[in-house]
Amino acid sequence: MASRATGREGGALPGKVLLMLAPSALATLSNRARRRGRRTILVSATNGKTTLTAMLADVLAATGLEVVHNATGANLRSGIATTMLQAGRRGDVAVLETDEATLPLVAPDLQPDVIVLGNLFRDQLDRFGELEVLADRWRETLGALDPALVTIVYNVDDPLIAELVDAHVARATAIGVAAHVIPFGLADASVGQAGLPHAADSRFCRRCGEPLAYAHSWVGHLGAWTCPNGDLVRTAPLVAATEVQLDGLAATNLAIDVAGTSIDVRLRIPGLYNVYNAVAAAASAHALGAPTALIGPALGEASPSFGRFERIPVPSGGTITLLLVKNPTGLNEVLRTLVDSGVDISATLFALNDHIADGRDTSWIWDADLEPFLAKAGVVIASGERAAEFGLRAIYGGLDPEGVLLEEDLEDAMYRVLERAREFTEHGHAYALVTYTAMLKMRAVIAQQGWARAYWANEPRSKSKSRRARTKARR
Amino acid sequence: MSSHDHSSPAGSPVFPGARPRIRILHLYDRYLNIYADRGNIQLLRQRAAWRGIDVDVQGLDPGETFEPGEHDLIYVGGGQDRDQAMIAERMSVDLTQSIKAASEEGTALLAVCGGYQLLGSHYLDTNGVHQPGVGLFDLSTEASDTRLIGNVAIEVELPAIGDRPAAQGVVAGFENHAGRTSLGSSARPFGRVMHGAGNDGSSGFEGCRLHHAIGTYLHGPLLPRNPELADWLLAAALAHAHGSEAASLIDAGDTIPEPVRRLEARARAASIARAKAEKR
Ligand SMILES: [Zn+2]
Repeated sequence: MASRATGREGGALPGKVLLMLAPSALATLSNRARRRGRRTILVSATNGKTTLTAMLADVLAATGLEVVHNATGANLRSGIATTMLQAGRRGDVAVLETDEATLPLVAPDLQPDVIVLGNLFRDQLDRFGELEVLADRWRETLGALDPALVTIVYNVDDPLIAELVDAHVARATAIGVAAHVIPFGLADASVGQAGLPHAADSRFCRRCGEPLAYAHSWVGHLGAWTCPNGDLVRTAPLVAATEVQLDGLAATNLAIDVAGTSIDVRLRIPGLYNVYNAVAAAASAHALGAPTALIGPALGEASPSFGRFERIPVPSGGTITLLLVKNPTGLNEVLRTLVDSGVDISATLFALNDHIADGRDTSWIWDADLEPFLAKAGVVIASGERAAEFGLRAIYGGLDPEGVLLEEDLEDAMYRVLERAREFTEHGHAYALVTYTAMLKMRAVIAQQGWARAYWANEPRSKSKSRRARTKARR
Repeated sequence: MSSHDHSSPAGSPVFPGARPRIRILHLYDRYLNIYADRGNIQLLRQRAAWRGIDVDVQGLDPGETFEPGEHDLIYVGGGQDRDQAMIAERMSVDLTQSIKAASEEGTALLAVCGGYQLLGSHYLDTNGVHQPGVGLFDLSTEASDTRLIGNVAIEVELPAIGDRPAAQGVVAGFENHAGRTSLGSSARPFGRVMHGAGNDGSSGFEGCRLHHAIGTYLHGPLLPRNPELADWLLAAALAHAHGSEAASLIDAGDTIPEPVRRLEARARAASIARAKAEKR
């Protein structure tokens, strides 16, 4: 089935073989580790799950736990099985990034202690058909779990998710069980915007169909929403970012209220959407009983995952920053962060591929708000297998037709953007907005040049970091 | 609504020195607006502007109505199933007469994906709910539990408008629909499938055309990689606005920037190549 290949399969071979030989292996591995006291936390979202999972793994490691983590981002059933297989019975907690379509397939076997539901944005409709189909699958997933045994950490600012968790709570109440839920969200209206952006995916109440009323929105349809008929109410988040100060591309200063205790965080990963990841990580750590005082410093240590605002120095001077983009809301947020940060974006490339992992339907680039970015950039190098499609999008978005530099080959495009950075910018910073397979390819060229470690070298790095953090916490 | 004189269905002639003007109605723009529908509108606006033609775009909300003849081109986009179910009834009650009358008197129309389904006689959705349609096109649609998803290339014939000659060509796009659409005996397809599924995956037909109204499953968005189709729609709109001799105004002068032509050709070639290569 083609859709299986959409999540990430890298490094998943042992698990794949194992599942072929023993289809119930996931349950067996999980049960064995649970008897030894290892807890399981599944993290899913359409946007930001890699960053969120990495943040959470770092926070838990900082509290002294031994963390099992699918750090290579292999987030399908086979990848999760590989991680479990390699971990054996080791570890206090397994933090598993889970592809959004895979969550329903693995949750029954893994019987997680905690499920983190980050967000549901329209992502690759060519894969699921409809966003609501995915929401329905998640609803069924929660419905099949024992509400007494699982804690749901969820984004209350996402009405699609809030609705399905509301149904989960109601179901539990009906059988006389108090469901464990931890809503998280934002609580600083100053970084919100009035109304909803064009790409807002969930504008209507799932119960009555009326348009939801938004006091403000923070990221896409994540916001302070309410049903005009009162069918659904956004409950106050238990863990919330109460003060958000964006400091360009350098950092974001945050105050996070964790169940009544406020912590300060200087997050070194830019963008409002990463504030959601930080709050989600704090809420998830709280759900696992992590001491609140350790959460802030650990989040401050978090660094960008591969290809996500990853800034790589180049030997000739300057840098190239890789920005993974894959759906309208994600692209909107990356562009907003870039434009609002005030950095010089005269050296920018956009690489659009259309393989399964990128989304075969390229129409999503038309649903994002590129206009402010294009107006500021003036010139953009269009690259990738569907480069021309992006070029047209840019011109119909107001870019001067001469401002599109078509360079379909990714490697050539990369050298060209670096050349532009040297020639036209003061500090030589180049920016590359890349879809998933374009990111892998560009990252491979960068590794080959020796400018940065190879993509899969991610895992040891994060392990050693966890070990360091553990030692520190024990001291 | 517009105070423009619409007493004559042939439209008002363009006087020397006056700029031609096209009025577009974007139906239910706040509900039916995914799969880059916005791109189609942006394109129509910009392509017209390059030719010195003014464009007004007006939205319409559920519950509102319009007078047939007040607009030169009607656009109906797609929505997620739920959004579509929510407005189907409203649309068929409020707009059936206006849409049919507008098409009858020569208003151009483009309906994509969900919008295409809504203009048929009915749609049986994935939940087994019967959604009424406008019935402009003689066709009906039933949802299946599998979706037809992928790149598509179809062969189309676009009829002459005034003295603007008929044209043949390939239209490329992306389809993603659970609906299987069957054309009635009086309906003519928009195109014949070369690669991809089309209306139902078996008939070899894609979309439907009636006068200057086109319904199709192809998005991507449809118009940027199919500029000839965009120009045909604009020509039809010009004919409606200013009389059939105005249709060829869309071809006047070499006003499309060279980089745009180059990118269009590349985008289209890439799209057709994908449709050809995809296994189904
Ligand atoms: Zn409601």
